[in-house]
Amino acid sequence: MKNLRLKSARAAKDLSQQELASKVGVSRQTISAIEKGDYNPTINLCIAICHAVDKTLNDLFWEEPLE
Amino acid sequence: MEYNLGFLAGGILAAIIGVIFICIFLRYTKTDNSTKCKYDERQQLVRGIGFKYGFFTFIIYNAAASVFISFGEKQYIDHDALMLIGIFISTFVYAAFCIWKEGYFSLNENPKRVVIAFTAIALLNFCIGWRSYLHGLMFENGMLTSHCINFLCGILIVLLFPVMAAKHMNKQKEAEE
Repeated sequence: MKNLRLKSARAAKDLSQQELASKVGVSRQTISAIEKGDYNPTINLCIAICHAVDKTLNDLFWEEPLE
Repeated sequence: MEYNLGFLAGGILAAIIGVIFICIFLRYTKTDNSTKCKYDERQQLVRGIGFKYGFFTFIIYNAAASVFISFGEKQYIDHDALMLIGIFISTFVYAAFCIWKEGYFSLNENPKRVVIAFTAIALLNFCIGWRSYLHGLMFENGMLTSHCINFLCGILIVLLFPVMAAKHMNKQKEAEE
């Protein structure tokens, strides 16, 4: 599932994928894969991303269970 | 005795030159002057899966090669060369998978410099392979020998270039979309 919340949070901070990747110490392709839903990051990376875009884990990664 | 000492000295000298070349290669391809590759968690995962595919390729190849040795009437490849070909095929599977899944180049690596260094290594290996061929070492009694190692190394690198090019084009296409 695509992570559009991360994409919009990144855009709101005016960060490119490469800039966010450099901030959290991963490759641009990894950020792209997370946004496309092709890769599930570890909790450490999730926290690093949240710090970089000033959001909480709930804001970016929490999903309500499907009924 | 003298021959053995000369052989040993040659081996040690070759090893020292090899280590120097590897250090130069590692420093040249890095963007931060270190010699260590740094991968993020996704890349490590991709490389692990790549290793798995390479390993299974090697097992399947060995099984096929043993059938080839057992039932083949005429041998065209000696056992050492057969093993080397298996190593190169599985290395190709591993490298091609990692390139396609973007786990091959580390975070502190300059891909352009890697391609330049790979081209130089491929050319060097083709030259050594060509020398082995001219001296009649590559084929003995109509069989491919382990002296084909340099030639195989060159072929392996050359085969990786189209994978890199295809991945590069794929990335550009994705960026346009």
